[in-house]
Amino acid sequence: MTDLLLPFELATISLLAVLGSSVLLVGLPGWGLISTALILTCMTVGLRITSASQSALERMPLNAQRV
Amino acid sequence: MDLDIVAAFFLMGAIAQLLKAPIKMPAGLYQSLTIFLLIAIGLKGGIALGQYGNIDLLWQSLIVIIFGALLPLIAFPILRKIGGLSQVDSASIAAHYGSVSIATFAVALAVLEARDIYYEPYFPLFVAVLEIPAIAIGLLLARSKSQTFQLKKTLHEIFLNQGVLLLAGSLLVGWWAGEQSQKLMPFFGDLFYGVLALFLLEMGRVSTSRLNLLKEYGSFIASFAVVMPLIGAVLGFACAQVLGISMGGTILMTTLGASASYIAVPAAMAVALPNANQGLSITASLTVTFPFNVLVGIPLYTSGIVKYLS
Repeated sequence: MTDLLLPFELATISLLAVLGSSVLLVGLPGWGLISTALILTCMTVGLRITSASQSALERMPLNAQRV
Repeated sequence: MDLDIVAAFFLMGAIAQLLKAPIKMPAGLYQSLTIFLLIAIGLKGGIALGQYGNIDLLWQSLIVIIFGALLPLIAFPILRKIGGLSQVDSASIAAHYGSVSIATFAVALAVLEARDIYYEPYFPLFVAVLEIPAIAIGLLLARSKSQTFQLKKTLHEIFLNQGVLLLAGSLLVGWWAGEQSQKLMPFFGDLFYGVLALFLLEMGRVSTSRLNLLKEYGSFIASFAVVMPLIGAVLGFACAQVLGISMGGTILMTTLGASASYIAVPAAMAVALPNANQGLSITASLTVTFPFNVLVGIPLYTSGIVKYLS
Protein backbone atom coordinates (compact mmCIF):
# COMPACT_ATOMS: atom_id res chain seq x y z
CA MET A 1 0.00 0.00 0.00
CA THR A 2 1.29 3.48 -0.87
CA ASP A 3 2.19 5.54 2.16
CA LEU A 4 -0.18 8.47 1.96
CA LEU A 5 0.59 9.89 5.38
CA LEU A 6 3.36 12.27 4.37
CA PRO A 7 1.56 13.62 1.26
CA PHE A 8 -1.56 14.18 3.38
CA GLU A 9 0.38 16.01 6.08
CA LEU A 10 2.23 18.14 3.53
CA ALA A 11 -1.03 18.94 1.75
CA THR A 12 -2.58 19.98 5.08
CA ILE A 13 0.39 22.22 5.90
CA SER A 14 0.30 23.81 2.43
CA LEU A 15 -3.46 24.34 2.65
CA LEU A 16 -3.14 26.06 6.02
CA ALA A 17 -0.27 28.25 4.85
CA VAL A 18 -2.00 29.28 1.61
CA LEU A 19 -5.37 29.78 3.33
CA GLY A 20 -3.77 31.77 6.16
CA SER A 21 -1.89 34.04 3.75
CA SER A 22 -4.98 34.58 1.58
CA VAL A 23 -7.10 35.35 4.60
CA LEU A 24 -4.50 37.86 5.83
CA LEU A 25 -4.47 39.55 2.43
CA VAL A 26 -8.21 40.25 2.67
CA GLY A 27 -7.79 41.68 6.16
CA LEU A 28 -9.04 38.71 8.20
CA PRO A 29 -7.24 36.96 11.10
CA GLY A 30 -4.99 34.48 9.29
CA TRP A 31 -2.03 34.30 11.67
CA GLY A 32 -3.65 31.41 13.54
CA LEU A 33 -3.70 29.28 10.38
CA ILE A 34 -0.08 30.16 9.57
CA SER A 35 1.01 29.37 13.15
CA THR A 36 -0.86 26.05 12.98
CA ALA A 37 0.93 25.25 9.71
CA LEU A 38 4.27 25.94 11.42
CA ILE A 39 3.41 23.75 14.43
CA LEU A 40 2.32 20.91 12.12
CA THR A 41 5.54 21.27 10.09
CA CYS A 42 7.61 20.93 13.27
CA MET A 43 5.56 17.89 14.33
CA THR A 44 5.75 16.19 10.92
CA VAL A 45 9.50 16.68 10.63
CA GLY A 46 10.34 16.24 14.33
CA LEU A 47 8.39 13.04 14.87
CA ARG A 48 9.85 11.49 11.69
CA ILE A 49 13.41 12.34 12.75
CA THR A 50 12.79 10.90 16.24
CA SER A 51 11.27 7.74 14.83
CA ALA A 52 14.10 7.32 12.27
CA SER A 53 16.81 7.73 14.93
CA GLN A 54 15.01 5.28 17.22
CA SER A 55 14.77 2.61 14.53
CA ALA A 56 18.44 3.17 13.61
CA LEU A 57 19.32 2.60 17.25
CA GLU A 58 17.24 -0.58 17.32
CA ARG A 59 19.01 -1.92 14.18
CA MET A 60 22.42 -1.30 15.75
CA PRO A 61 24.08 -4.40 17.25
CA LEU A 62 23.88 -4.51 21.04
CA ASN A 63 27.68 -4.26 21.62
CA ALA A 64 27.85 -1.16 19.38
CA GLN A 65 25.08 0.44 21.42
CA ARG A 66 27.07 -0.13 24.63
CA VAL A 67 30.08 1.68 23.12
CA MET B 1 -6.34 40.29 18.12
CA ASP B 2 -9.81 38.76 17.79
CA LEU B 3 -9.51 36.47 20.81
CA ASP B 4 -12.55 36.57 23.07
CA ILE B 5 -12.08 37.08 26.82
CA VAL B 6 -13.39 33.56 27.64
CA ALA B 7 -10.92 32.04 25.15
CA ALA B 8 -8.15 33.95 26.92
CA PHE B 9 -8.88 31.84 30.00
CA PHE B 10 -8.32 28.72 27.91
CA LEU B 11 -4.95 30.10 26.88
CA MET B 12 -4.14 30.88 30.52
CA GLY B 13 -4.84 27.28 31.60
CA ALA B 14 -2.81 25.92 28.68
CA ILE B 15 0.19 28.18 29.33
CA ALA B 16 0.15 27.35 33.06
CA GLN B 17 0.21 23.64 32.19
CA LEU B 18 3.03 24.13 29.66
CA LEU B 19 5.03 25.95 32.33
CA LYS B 20 4.43 22.94 34.59
CA ALA B 21 2.48 25.12 37.01
CA PRO B 22 -1.00 23.68 36.50
CA ILE B 23 -3.92 25.48 38.14
CA LYS B 24 -5.44 22.84 40.37
CA MET B 25 -9.22 22.74 40.39
CA PRO B 26 -11.25 20.74 42.92
CA ALA B 27 -12.00 17.17 41.78
CA GLY B 28 -15.37 16.95 40.06
CA LEU B 29 -15.52 20.65 39.19
CA TYR B 30 -15.02 19.91 35.48
CA GLN B 31 -18.07 17.61 35.51
CA SER B 32 -20.11 20.18 37.47
CA LEU B 33 -19.24 22.95 35.05
CA THR B 34 -20.14 20.72 32.09
CA ILE B 35 -23.55 20.01 33.64
CA PHE B 36 -24.06 23.74 34.26
CA LEU B 37 -23.24 24.62 30.63
CA LEU B 38 -25.51 21.93 29.21
CA ILE B 39 -28.47 23.01 31.37
CA ALA B 40 -27.88 26.73 30.79
CA ILE B 41 -27.72 26.34 27.00
CA GLY B 42 -30.68 23.94 26.92
CA LEU B 43 -32.83 26.12 29.14
CA LYS B 44 -32.17 29.26 27.15
CA GLY B 45 -32.90 27.41 23.91
CA GLY B 46 -36.10 25.95 25.37
CA ILE B 47 -37.46 29.36 26.39
CA ALA B 48 -36.73 30.64 22.87
CA LEU B 49 -38.31 27.54 21.33
CA GLY B 50 -41.55 28.33 23.18
CA GLN B 51 -41.48 31.89 21.85
CA TYR B 52 -40.24 31.42 18.28
CA GLY B 53 -40.83 27.75 17.52
CA ASN B 54 -42.69 27.03 14.28
CA ILE B 55 -43.26 24.27 11.76
CA ASP B 56 -40.18 25.29 9.74
CA LEU B 57 -38.05 23.93 12.56
CA LEU B 58 -39.05 20.41 11.53
CA TRP B 59 -37.52 20.54 8.06
CA GLN B 60 -34.62 22.59 9.35
CA SER B 61 -33.91 19.86 11.93
CA LEU B 62 -34.08 17.26 9.16
CA ILE B 63 -31.43 19.12 7.15
CA VAL B 64 -29.29 19.40 10.28
CA ILE B 65 -29.59 15.63 10.81
CA ILE B 66 -28.45 14.99 7.21
CA PHE B 67 -25.55 17.39 7.79
CA GLY B 68 -24.60 15.52 10.98
CA ALA B 69 -24.66 12.20 9.14
CA LEU B 70 -22.55 13.52 6.26
CA LEU B 71 -19.54 14.59 8.35
CA PRO B 72 -18.50 11.11 9.57
CA LEU B 73 -18.92 9.79 6.03
CA ILE B 74 -16.27 12.30 4.91
CA ALA B 75 -13.97 11.72 7.89
CA PHE B 76 -14.04 7.91 7.69
CA PRO B 77 -12.27 7.42 4.30
CA ILE B 78 -9.58 9.95 5.25
CA LEU B 79 -8.82 8.03 8.43
CA ARG B 80 -9.12 4.58 6.87
CA LYS B 81 -7.55 5.01 3.41
CA ILE B 82 -5.01 7.75 4.08
CA GLY B 83 -4.32 7.27 7.77
CA GLY B 84 -4.36 3.48 7.54
CA LEU B 85 -6.25 3.22 10.84
CA SER B 86 -8.35 0.16 11.64
CA GLN B 87 -12.01 0.13 10.66
CA VAL B 88 -13.18 0.44 14.26
CA ASP B 89 -10.81 3.30 15.13
CA SER B 90 -11.67 5.15 11.92
CA ALA B 91 -15.40 4.79 12.60
CA SER B 92 -15.03 5.90 16.21
CA ILE B 93 -13.01 9.02 15.33
CA ALA B 94 -15.39 9.78 12.43
CA ALA B 95 -18.32 9.70 14.88
CA HIS B 96 -16.51 12.19 17.15
CA TYR B 97 -16.07 14.56 14.20
CA GLY B 98 -19.68 14.25 13.08
CA SER B 99 -20.95 15.16 16.51
CA VAL B 100 -20.53 18.53 18.21
CA SER B 101 -18.75 20.09 21.16
CA ILE B 102 -20.96 21.96 23.58
CA ALA B 103 -17.99 23.97 24.91
CA THR B 104 -17.02 25.14 21.40
CA PHE B 105 -20.65 26.11 20.85
CA ALA B 106 -20.66 28.02 24.16
CA VAL B 107 -17.53 29.94 23.12
CA ALA B 108 -19.16 30.85 19.78
CA LEU B 109 -22.28 32.03 21.67
CA ALA B 110 -20.08 34.19 23.92
CA VAL B 111 -18.37 35.74 20.89
CA LEU B 112 -21.72 36.51 19.20
CA GLU B 113 -23.15 38.08 22.33
CA ALA B 114 -20.00 40.12 22.94
CA ARG B 115 -20.24 41.49 19.39
CA ASP B 116 -23.99 41.92 19.61
CA ILE B 117 -24.66 39.67 16.60
CA TYR B 118 -28.19 38.24 16.40
CA TYR B 119 -28.64 34.45 16.13
CA GLU B 120 -31.67 32.18 16.16
CA PRO B 121 -32.26 31.74 19.92
CA TYR B 122 -33.59 28.18 19.49
CA PHE B 123 -30.19 27.03 18.17
CA PRO B 124 -29.60 24.62 21.10
CA LEU B 125 -32.26 22.43 19.45
CA PHE B 126 -29.89 21.92 16.51
CA VAL B 127 -27.05 21.15 18.92
CA ALA B 128 -29.11 18.39 20.56
CA VAL B 129 -30.16 17.08 17.14
CA LEU B 130 -26.54 17.04 15.91
CA GLU B 131 -25.34 14.88 18.81
CA ILE B 132 -27.12 11.74 17.60
CA PRO B 133 -26.77 10.96 13.84
CA ALA B 134 -22.96 10.86 13.89
CA ILE B 135 -22.96 8.14 16.56
CA ALA B 136 -25.38 6.03 14.52
CA ILE B 137 -23.32 6.49 11.33
CA GLY B 138 -20.12 5.72 13.25
CA LEU B 139 -21.61 2.42 14.41
CA LEU B 140 -22.73 1.56 10.88
CA LEU B 141 -19.23 2.29 9.57
CA ALA B 142 -17.68 0.09 12.25
CA ARG B 143 -19.99 -2.81 11.44
CA SER B 144 -18.23 -5.93 10.25
CA LYS B 145 -18.77 -9.66 10.54
CA SER B 146 -16.72 -9.83 13.71
CA GLN B 147 -18.13 -6.68 15.25
CA THR B 148 -21.30 -7.15 17.25
CA PHE B 149 -23.11 -4.56 19.28
CA GLN B 150 -25.07 -4.80 22.46
CA LEU B 151 -28.02 -3.08 20.80
CA LYS B 152 -29.98 -2.17 23.93
CA LYS B 153 -26.98 -0.77 25.76
CA THR B 154 -25.78 1.06 22.65
CA LEU B 155 -29.16 2.69 21.99
CA HIS B 156 -29.30 3.68 25.64
CA GLU B 157 -25.92 5.40 25.32
CA ILE B 158 -26.83 7.09 22.03
CA PHE B 159 -30.09 8.64 23.21
CA LEU B 160 -29.63 8.82 26.96
CA ASN B 161 -26.01 9.82 27.42
CA GLN B 162 -25.45 12.70 29.83
CA GLY B 163 -24.88 15.30 27.13
CA VAL B 164 -28.01 14.54 25.11
CA LEU B 165 -30.14 13.95 28.19
CA LEU B 166 -29.25 17.20 29.95
CA LEU B 167 -29.39 19.32 26.81
CA ALA B 168 -32.65 17.86 25.46
CA GLY B 169 -34.17 17.66 28.96
CA SER B 170 -33.39 21.32 29.76
CA LEU B 171 -34.65 22.32 26.32
CA LEU B 172 -37.98 20.64 27.08
CA VAL B 173 -38.13 22.10 30.59
CA GLY B 174 -37.42 25.61 29.24
CA TRP B 175 -40.00 25.17 26.48
CA TRP B 176 -42.63 23.90 28.90
CA ALA B 177 -41.93 26.40 31.68
CA GLY B 178 -41.65 29.47 29.43
CA GLU B 179 -41.64 32.61 31.56
CA GLN B 180 -41.29 30.57 34.76
CA SER B 181 -37.74 29.72 33.66
CA GLN B 182 -36.79 33.34 34.31
CA LYS B 183 -36.62 32.43 38.00
CA LEU B 184 -33.55 30.32 37.22
CA MET B 185 -31.88 32.88 35.01
CA PRO B 186 -29.94 34.72 37.71
CA PHE B 187 -28.06 31.42 38.09
CA PHE B 188 -28.09 29.86 34.62
CA GLY B 189 -28.12 33.13 32.66
CA ASP B 190 -26.10 35.79 34.47
CA LEU B 191 -23.37 33.43 35.63
CA PHE B 192 -22.97 31.75 32.23
CA TYR B 193 -19.85 33.59 31.06
CA GLY B 194 -18.11 33.35 34.41
CA VAL B 195 -18.70 29.61 34.51
CA LEU B 196 -17.60 29.29 30.88
CA ALA B 197 -14.34 31.10 31.71
CA LEU B 198 -13.72 28.68 34.61
CA PHE B 199 -14.55 25.71 32.39
CA LEU B 200 -12.15 26.89 29.69
CA LEU B 201 -9.41 27.46 32.25
CA GLU B 202 -9.71 23.80 33.20
CA MET B 203 -10.02 22.74 29.53
CA GLY B 204 -6.76 24.53 28.78
CA ARG B 205 -5.07 22.47 31.45
CA VAL B 206 -6.70 19.16 30.42
CA SER B 207 -6.02 19.49 26.71
CA THR B 208 -2.39 20.57 27.18
CA SER B 209 -1.74 17.74 29.63
CA ARG B 210 -2.51 15.30 26.79
CA LEU B 211 -0.03 16.84 24.33
CA ASN B 212 2.50 14.05 24.95
CA LEU B 213 0.04 11.55 23.50
CA LEU B 214 0.38 13.23 20.11
CA LYS B 215 3.97 11.94 19.95
CA GLU B 216 2.62 8.45 20.42
CA TYR B 217 -0.18 8.72 17.86
CA GLY B 218 1.87 10.54 15.23
CA SER B 219 1.53 13.68 13.20
CA PHE B 220 -1.19 12.30 10.90
CA ILE B 221 -3.80 12.53 13.63
CA ALA B 222 -2.79 16.15 14.37
CA SER B 223 -3.10 17.04 10.66
CA PHE B 224 -6.47 15.30 10.46
CA ALA B 225 -7.68 17.11 13.59
CA VAL B 226 -6.91 20.45 11.93
CA VAL B 227 -8.10 19.74 8.39
CA MET B 228 -11.39 18.09 9.40
CA PRO B 229 -12.69 21.18 11.27
CA LEU B 230 -12.00 23.24 8.16
CA ILE B 231 -13.99 20.79 6.01
CA GLY B 232 -16.76 20.76 8.63
CA ALA B 233 -16.78 24.55 8.77
CA VAL B 234 -17.23 24.84 4.99
CA LEU B 235 -20.07 22.29 5.08
CA GLY B 236 -21.60 24.01 8.12
CA PHE B 237 -21.58 27.28 6.22
CA ALA B 238 -23.23 25.57 3.23
CA CYS B 239 -25.83 23.98 5.54
CA ALA B 240 -26.62 27.41 7.05
CA GLN B 241 -27.16 28.81 3.53
CA VAL B 242 -29.60 25.99 2.76
CA LEU B 243 -31.42 26.66 6.06
CA GLY B 244 -31.58 30.38 5.27
CA ILE B 245 -30.64 31.42 8.79
CA SER B 246 -29.21 34.71 10.09
CA MET B 247 -25.55 35.76 10.08
CA GLY B 248 -25.17 34.75 13.73
CA GLY B 249 -26.85 31.43 12.99
CA THR B 250 -24.44 30.90 10.09
CA ILE B 251 -21.48 31.49 12.44
CA LEU B 252 -22.94 29.00 14.93
CA MET B 253 -23.61 26.34 12.27
CA THR B 254 -20.10 26.80 10.84
CA THR B 255 -18.65 26.39 14.34
CA LEU B 256 -20.78 23.31 15.02
CA GLY B 257 -19.62 21.76 11.75
CA ALA B 258 -16.02 22.41 12.74
CA SER B 259 -16.33 21.07 16.28
CA ALA B 260 -15.80 17.52 17.49
CA SER B 261 -17.37 15.86 20.48
CA TYR B 262 -15.41 14.82 23.55
CA ILE B 263 -18.25 14.28 26.02
CA ALA B 264 -21.25 12.53 24.46
CA VAL B 265 -19.58 10.43 21.76
CA PRO B 266 -16.73 8.99 23.86
CA ALA B 267 -19.30 7.74 26.37
CA ALA B 268 -21.37 6.11 23.60
CA MET B 269 -18.34 4.66 21.80
CA ALA B 270 -16.90 3.18 24.99
CA VAL B 271 -20.03 1.05 25.23
CA ALA B 272 -20.69 0.37 21.55
CA LEU B 273 -17.11 -0.06 20.33
CA PRO B 274 -15.02 -1.19 23.29
CA ASN B 275 -12.22 -2.27 20.93
CA ALA B 276 -11.78 1.26 19.58
CA ASN B 277 -8.85 3.27 20.85
CA GLN B 278 -10.64 5.95 22.88
CA GLY B 279 -7.40 7.79 23.64
CA LEU B 280 -6.83 8.40 19.94
CA SER B 281 -10.26 10.01 19.39
CA ILE B 282 -10.16 12.12 22.54
CA THR B 283 -6.61 13.29 21.87
CA ALA B 284 -7.62 14.41 18.38
CA SER B 285 -10.81 16.16 19.42
CA LEU B 286 -9.72 17.59 22.77
CA THR B 287 -6.01 18.28 22.31
CA VAL B 288 -6.03 19.55 18.74
CA THR B 289 -9.50 20.36 17.39
CA PHE B 290 -10.91 22.10 20.47
CA PRO B 291 -7.96 24.51 20.94
CA PHE B 292 -7.80 25.06 17.17
CA ASN B 293 -11.46 26.06 17.06
CA VAL B 294 -11.33 28.24 20.17
CA LEU B 295 -8.10 30.08 19.33
CA VAL B 296 -8.04 30.07 15.52
CA GLY B 297 -11.33 28.83 14.07
CA ILE B 298 -14.02 30.86 15.84
CA PRO B 299 -12.29 34.26 15.38
CA LEU B 300 -11.73 33.38 11.72
CA TYR B 301 -15.26 32.05 11.03
CA THR B 302 -16.79 35.05 12.80
CA SER B 303 -14.73 37.70 11.01
CA GLY B 304 -15.03 35.92 7.66
CA ILE B 305 -18.78 35.47 7.82
CA VAL B 306 -19.38 39.00 9.13
CA LYS B 307 -17.29 40.38 6.26
CA TYR B 308 -18.87 38.09 3.64
CA LEU B 309 -22.52 38.42 4.68
CA SER B 310 -22.70 42.06 5.72
